[in-house]
This record gives sequence, C-alpha cells and structure tokens, in this order.
Amino acid sequence: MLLFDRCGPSLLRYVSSFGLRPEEAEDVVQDVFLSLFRHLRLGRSRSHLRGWLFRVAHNLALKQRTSLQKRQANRSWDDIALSQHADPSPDPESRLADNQRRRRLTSVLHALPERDRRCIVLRAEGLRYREIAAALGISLGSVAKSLTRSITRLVNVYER
Amino acid sequence: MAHFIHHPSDEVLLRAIDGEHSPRRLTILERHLADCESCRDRRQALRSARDEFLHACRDDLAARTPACDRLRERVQVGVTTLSRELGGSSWSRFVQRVAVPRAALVGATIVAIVAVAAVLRHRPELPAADDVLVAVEPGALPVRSLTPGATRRVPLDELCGARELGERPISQAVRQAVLRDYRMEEVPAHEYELDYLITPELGGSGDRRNLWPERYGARIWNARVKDELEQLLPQLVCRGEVDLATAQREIAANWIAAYKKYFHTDEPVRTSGGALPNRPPLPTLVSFVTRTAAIESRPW
Repeated sequence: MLLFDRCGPSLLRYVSSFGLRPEEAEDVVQDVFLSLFRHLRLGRSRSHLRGWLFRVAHNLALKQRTSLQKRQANRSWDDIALSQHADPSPDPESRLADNQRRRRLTSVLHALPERDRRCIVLRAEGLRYREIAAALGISLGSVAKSLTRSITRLVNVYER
Repeated sequence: MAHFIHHPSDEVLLRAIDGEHSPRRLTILERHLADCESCRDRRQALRSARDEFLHACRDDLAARTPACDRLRERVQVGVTTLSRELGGSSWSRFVQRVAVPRAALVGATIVAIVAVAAVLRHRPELPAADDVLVAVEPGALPVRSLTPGATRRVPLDELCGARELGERPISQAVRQAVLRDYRMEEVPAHEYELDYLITPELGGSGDRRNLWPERYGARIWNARVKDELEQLLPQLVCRGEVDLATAQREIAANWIAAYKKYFHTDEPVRTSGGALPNRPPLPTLVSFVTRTAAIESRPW
C-alpha cells in the first residue's frame, strides 16, 4: 500500500487526538505532507518514512495546540477522550455494561501521563515500537515500559 | 538450552504479544509458557486489556475524525503548487509515493495552474510566468508565497553613495521565523545561508518576507552565483543603465532569470574573488554585512 493511503487517515486521527478541530487537524496533516515533499526533494533518507511522518505530525500538532491554547484560553482541550457514543445495541443491559466499560477505560486513559497516552494512541494506529520511539523522540525501551505501564494499569482495574 | 530463571515480566509478555521479540527469545518464552499456567493466564489478561484499550482508542478517534477525501484533495493541490513554486520536477516521484489517482492529479494541476495564473494576473509587477517557472535545482529559488521580497524606502543617491552603510545583523526572532516558515528549524546552520532575496544594496529590507534559507547544496545556481548578480545589479542601477524598481522586481521574481539576462549567459560565469570581467571596480556600498554566521564555513 502506498504512503498516503497508508498514513493519511492514521495521521489525521493521531493529530485529532491532540484535541484539534477537524479543520485544524487537516491543516497540520497537509503541512506534514508538504514537509515530506520537501524532505524527498532534498534527497534525504527515504527509510522509515512512517516514523518520520508521525514525528513531524507530532511536533506540528503540539506546536499548533500550544499556539491555539495561547489564543483561545477559554476553549476546552479534551486531549484523548473516549466519548460516550450512541450505542446501537437495543439491549439496555448491554448498553449499560458497555458504558461502564468505556467509563473505566476513559478513567484509566485520563490518569496516564501524556507520553503514555501518546504511546497508546500510536500503538493503536499500528506503529511498531521502533516507529513510536522515532515519533516521540524516546528510546525503544521507554516505549516498551510505557505501554506495559498503561496496559498493566488497565489489567489491575479489571482485577479489582 | 536457555530458559527463563524467573517468571517473565509483564513487559516481556507484552513485547511477545506485540511481536517485538526476536525469534530466539520468543522460542525461549514459549517454552516457559508451555510449562507455566500462571504466566499463560497473565499473558491472556494482558492481551485482552491491550486489545480492548487499543480498539477503544482507535474507534473513538475514528468517530471524531473527518473522512480523508477533502484532505487528500488539499494535499494534492498543496504539493502541486509547492512543486511549481520550487520549479522542480519531483512531483511525479512524490505522486508515486502517495498514490494519487492520475485523474485527480490532472485536476489538481489544472487548479494549481489557474490559481498561479490568477495570482500573476493580479500582480502586474511580476514578470511572465515563463520566467518564474524556470526549472532549477531544489532550493535554488525561494518559495514565493513565503519570500515574495520586500524593500525599504531609500533614495537612490543614498544607495549609490560612497559611504559605508554599516552592519545590519538579522535579528534572532526574524531568523527563527524564516526557518519556521521553511520548516528548517532542525537543519544544521552550516547547510544554508540566510540570504536577502532583494539585496540591501538594491533597497531590500530585513523583513521576514525578504529573507530565505538558501542552501549550499545547490551545485550550479548557488549562493555564490547569486552574489555575483548582487554585485552587478547595483552597479548597473547606479550607472543609470537599469531602473532601481526593475532591478528589485527582477531579482525578487527569479534571480536566476535575472542573472541570465544581465550576464548574457545560460550558465554561471565563474569569476575569481567576485570581480566581474570587463567591469569597473565595485562601489564601496558592498560592505553591507548581510550574511549569517554560517557564511564563515561556506564551502566554495
């Protein structure tokens, strides 16, 4: 599968996870691909492009969010939030159980440090540990520890 | 034969679930799991929590994220426009990578051409499109939308006077802004020179719109060649052979085309020490220091 089709939707989801509005997220992803274009034109490395794309997206999204936060002090920034979607299930008991499960997930996710949340979201987008490390500028070992910390925390919540 | 002395940690189990172990290490782990029911249970618990966590994250973000159709279109138009501004031909290679449908590419190219034509029509001070779209090495010309050129109001006799104009370093804030514009904040300083598009000797200002990071990497149309034009044009202006506004406009629109026009050549004239063949000595106004610290290591 080629690069845009492989990475465009994932990048858009990842950038959206910073709490950016759809049009703001699209601006960022467009800039990411323009940066890629310049990167390729300059004859720079073509290896590990997915990690490179997510790293640029991460940096630009952070910058965009910081800039918007300064200008829009009153805006709510729900970073990554597992919102309560309308459940198509007609069964009230199933709906209740699903909502409880989702609330539990949300509470665990919100309790995580920012870096751990980023690792989870990038893993959810299918990135390998090496790519997550490249995107966030941390070591591969840190990625493994971060993911383990988050998943273990969720297991402990379930076991309680 | 290697074995786990203790029970494997959660991290080891999770790495195995995520396929992040070497085959050898995985074999050792599987051997342990075959004999250890508690570790198998732990692995299953981690796998279930991981799957639920990742699926919930993905589903939630997917529900809150718009479809990519509009984005794809925007990227196509943006890259097409940028490609034309940079004057290169790498677009086709990029298209191969991003899998843009051919029909969509044709449409986007038409849109970009119409957009560029509209801009040119409403900016009569610019030269013809043919002059603008000279195919050159990547980075040899600035991006027009970022660096259209800017001038300050200064009398001609002051520009052509024999006095020293003094040093005018570029402020750190402006430098950072320009590098940000070109997404070159992380490029090492020795790889480029922050250059004026319209040289100060022609009344170019220190405005962000008149500065661009000119890469040393260009083999033919590089910063040194532009310096030759920057020396020649003020001479022609001060001798009254070229109008100041014309010189400003031409160097801003496409300095390579201007070089070819005034040096009557299709390729750079190699001169030593910046002296121009069959030309009188330069006026003293060239002492204007406009370069970044990186110029010290410029690889001629």
